[in-house]
Amino acid sequence: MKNKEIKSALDYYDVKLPDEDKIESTVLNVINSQRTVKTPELSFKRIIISQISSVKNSFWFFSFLFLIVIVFMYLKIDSEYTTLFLFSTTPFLNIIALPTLFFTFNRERMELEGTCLIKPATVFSAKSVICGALDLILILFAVLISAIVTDVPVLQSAFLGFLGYTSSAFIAMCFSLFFKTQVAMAVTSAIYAVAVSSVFVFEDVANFILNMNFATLSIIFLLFFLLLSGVVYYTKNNYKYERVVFLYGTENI
Amino acid sequence: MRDRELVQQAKYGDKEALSQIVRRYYNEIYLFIYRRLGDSYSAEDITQEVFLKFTQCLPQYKEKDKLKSYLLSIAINCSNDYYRKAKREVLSEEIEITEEAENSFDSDMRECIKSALLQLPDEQRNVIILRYYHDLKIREISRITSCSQSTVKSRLYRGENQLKEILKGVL
Repeated sequence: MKNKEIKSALDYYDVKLPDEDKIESTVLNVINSQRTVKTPELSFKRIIISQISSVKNSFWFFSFLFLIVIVFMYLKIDSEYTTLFLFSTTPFLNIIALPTLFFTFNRERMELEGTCLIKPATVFSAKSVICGALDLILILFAVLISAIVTDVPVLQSAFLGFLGYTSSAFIAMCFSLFFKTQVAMAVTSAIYAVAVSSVFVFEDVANFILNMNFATLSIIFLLFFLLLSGVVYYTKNNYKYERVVFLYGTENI
Repeated sequence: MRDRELVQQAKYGDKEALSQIVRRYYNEIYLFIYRRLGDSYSAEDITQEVFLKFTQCLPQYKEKDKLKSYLLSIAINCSNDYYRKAKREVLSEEIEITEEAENSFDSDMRECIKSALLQLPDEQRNVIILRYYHDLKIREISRITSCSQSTVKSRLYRGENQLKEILKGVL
């Protein structure tokens, strides 16, 4: 609490500010003193490693939890529908992972950029690689277990899992271009939930997916893979700083 | 444009962003230094030095700190350096100002307050100026001056008492 007596007395001490010329000369001196220091440029591999260390513990916790659930369900339940269900839910990790990664991102990104020449888009790609790689490892792990425990065809199961991953990542990233990260993830989750539910509600849809031949499955997968690559490429090349901050969901612009 | 964005662009070498930062905070920093030293020429020089140092420190600056607080902490360091470098001259100037102010005590309130502030010990003066002229909270002052909140409170309390003592006839 300020002392009113002192405050009123101190108010008498007004100061004449320097002329505009003085301010402008300071501006000029400061600008001229700004050295263009060649800061070290980090390789993409090093950026990925640095980003792994900045990932929140909750992300690893959720991933581990998810893995346990998948393994447990494979060992306990043995049916084609369960397999379908498991592969349908695997991409949810993608939906959990993306916001978790981007929410924790801003401070580390600022510090990284302060010392090195890194474009926000590069770090964004690094995060996507971490998230994507972990998802694909989990899918492969689940497929291997399914090959041991059930008689589901390995290649078809793998493609089904990859299709879930690429399609959900593509949808999530498309929404991220236009909405806040939270909104994008919520909408993607909702779309995915509807898609998965339709598989269980309408038996024909489930049968169609389970009986889809390898060629059809791989074409659909390839299509989503190309779409996802396109969105990642677009994001990396066209996002300006402000837009990327928006995408991380830490700041409203 | 917000401070954070300006700093980010200045880090990338954007001169316009850097000049905007200087223009935005020049007066605030100048006022702090002037009230701390009581001399316009030194205040102008040190204000420029503050921004030059800020430019040098820009790559290490972390956005979690408020830009204004960061600049004020540089201002404190720069004026401390100034005191250290020219201790004798500053002391003689202070005495001169004080005497001059005391002679015109009744007619010039401003000079009286200026003189009173200059009589305060450095740490107390910093806290009083930051609190009363820059409207900073105790927490912010403690961050700028790199000392605990209880130290800031005690310096503020002692500073206020000393000011009251000096300005006894005026308050």
